[in-house]
Amino acid sequence: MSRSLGHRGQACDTFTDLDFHHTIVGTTLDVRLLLYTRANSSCGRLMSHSAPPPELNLTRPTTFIIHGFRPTGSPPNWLEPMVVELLELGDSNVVVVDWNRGAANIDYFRVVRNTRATATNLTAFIRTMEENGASLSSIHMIGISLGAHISGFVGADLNGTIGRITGLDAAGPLFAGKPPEDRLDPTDAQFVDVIHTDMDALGLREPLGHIDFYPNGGADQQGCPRTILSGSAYFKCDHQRSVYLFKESLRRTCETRAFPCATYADFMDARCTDCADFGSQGCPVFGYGVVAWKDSLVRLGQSKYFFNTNNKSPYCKTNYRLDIVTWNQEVQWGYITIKMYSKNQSAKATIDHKKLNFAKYTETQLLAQFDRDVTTVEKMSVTFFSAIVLRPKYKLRVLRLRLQRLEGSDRPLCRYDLLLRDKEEITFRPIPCEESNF
Amino acid sequence: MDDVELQTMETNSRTGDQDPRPGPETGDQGATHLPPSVQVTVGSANGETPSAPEHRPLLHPQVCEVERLQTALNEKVFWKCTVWMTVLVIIIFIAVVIFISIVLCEVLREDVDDKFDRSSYDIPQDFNGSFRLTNQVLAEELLTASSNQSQVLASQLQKKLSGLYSDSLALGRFFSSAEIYDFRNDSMEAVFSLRFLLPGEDQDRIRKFTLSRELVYNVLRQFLYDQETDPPGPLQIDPASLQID
Repeated sequence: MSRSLGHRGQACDTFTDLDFHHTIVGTTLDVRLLLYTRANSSCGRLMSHSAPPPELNLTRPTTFIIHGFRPTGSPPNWLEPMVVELLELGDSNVVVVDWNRGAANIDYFRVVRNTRATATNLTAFIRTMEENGASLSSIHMIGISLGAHISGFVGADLNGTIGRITGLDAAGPLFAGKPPEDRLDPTDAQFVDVIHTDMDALGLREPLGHIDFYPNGGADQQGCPRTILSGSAYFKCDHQRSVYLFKESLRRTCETRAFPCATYADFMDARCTDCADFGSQGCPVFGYGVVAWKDSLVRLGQSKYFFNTNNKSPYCKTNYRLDIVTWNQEVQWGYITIKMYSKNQSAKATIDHKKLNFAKYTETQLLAQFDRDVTTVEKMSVTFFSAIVLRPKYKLRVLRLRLQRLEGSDRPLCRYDLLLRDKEEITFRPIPCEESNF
Repeated sequence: MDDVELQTMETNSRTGDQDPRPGPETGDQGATHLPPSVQVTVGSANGETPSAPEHRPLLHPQVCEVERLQTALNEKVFWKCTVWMTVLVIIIFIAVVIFISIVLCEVLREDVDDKFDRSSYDIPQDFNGSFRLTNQVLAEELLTASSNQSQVLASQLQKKLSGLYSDSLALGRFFSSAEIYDFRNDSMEAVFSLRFLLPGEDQDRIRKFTLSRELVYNVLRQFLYDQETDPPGPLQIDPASLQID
């Protein structure tokens, strides 16, 4: 089948490469298991289902990567980098579940029917691993789209004893509104973490795991096209973003905290900045490392977790709470842009998800999400954009502006007695706040 | 329909009345303006012998309507101004009036927060505090030289305090005076008092927010922090030493 030569001359097995022609004709299910280890991180080895090869060291943890629907038949471009990054994180076995023959079919209904058979196949393989001495709790399955449900079926077949299932935007079509046994659910593994990035189209809206992340609210992703004019990206960009976000979390370039909240709107209104439930650990960090919060998350029960991202990598935003007290006699409406400068860096946060309301002597709490982490803030600037139409645009008269980082224990930054004219950028040196009496 | 017809009738008869007046232009214009079909209508409308109905079936009813409207619009109101010109002018006039009033509203309306009457502010609110001068050597020279010198330093510092509080956007209108009333020689500490006057109206909230210790203290504190970047002078104050209660 697909073979190429590895760096030591031995033959490498690669992911089945099909083309559009196959997807139209249709493919019959063939589940191939490709093993990657630190010894051969760029050269897959096709495994026999009945007799795992000696290279599959069962004392090491094993991670399965299960792809989803492949309407073009091509190998996923994120697959190899993900394998490499998983192996860099720890000495483990990475098994790529290649069910491209079966997933590459324009008939989505046929592909969905193949998920059960793929799951049965995988369950049998994991049972063989167990018989040969593997511990089920050291197994982690990463399922993308339909792959997330396959992981769920495997987990259910094994009575939820496998260690962890990560669902990357679990497929929505034909799974929405289905009972737990017909989709991924928290009983399928000891720990189930799910990312929702396209819940209004190809993904699912309902929480499916112990923790459900909803980046940017879970529906429309930053930097993804909003109209069909952008071609195929319009359909897949939101859905695929889950994979790219998770992949970035493997690299650990930056850290994104996710905040438990009833709705995305509440999160955007800074109503969910409290992480006291998690003690000194703080709110869960999105991605691969979230397993460190497993005990508290399983104890706290199902909840939605929100965070926002930048429109391209690095996706991490840095969260601050911005509190503003004004003294205008009349209520003011508008939007705020805030920037932070260090010696050679600057970060920007725009708060315009809705019209902000500033009433006299009332503290307005806002969520300021900066596109980058600036450590030593030397200067700051604030711009106020009045949203009052056909009426005199009064200036925003600020008594106190306080910026408090949500993560860590940095001292909040303050500035007092400011006048913000419409659209005029005011730059100043913030000073450390002192205890507030307001 | 009938109304239009009636109107046409009336105005027509008026023009008819004017027609005989001297001036060949009017006559000429009337002729060029009115197509023959209209003249027919005019004839019938003038209530002459009902010969008009005989002509009517010959004309297309829609064409008739359009033409009638045309005539109506081309009627003269005065001099060379026809009805359509007048209507257009009125519409433009209304739009301009609306636009001008919006602009005037924007420009002329005063910011309510800029309006205040200081003479009604009569309830005093005092704050006392202290700070240390950074440039001790220079300041010490000034102090030991003579008591006259220390008065100069005091008045300079007083001026600095008065200046910054009068310039404050939130506190300026309430600020009354600042006084340096003592130097503690050993640590070069200046002791000062600030007086603000506030109105009786909304007194409690003003005390709690605008004229709170927090704001009075921090307006001075951030001023001192901003000055840190300036070249050091005899009036340099250490922001960390600031105390107000």
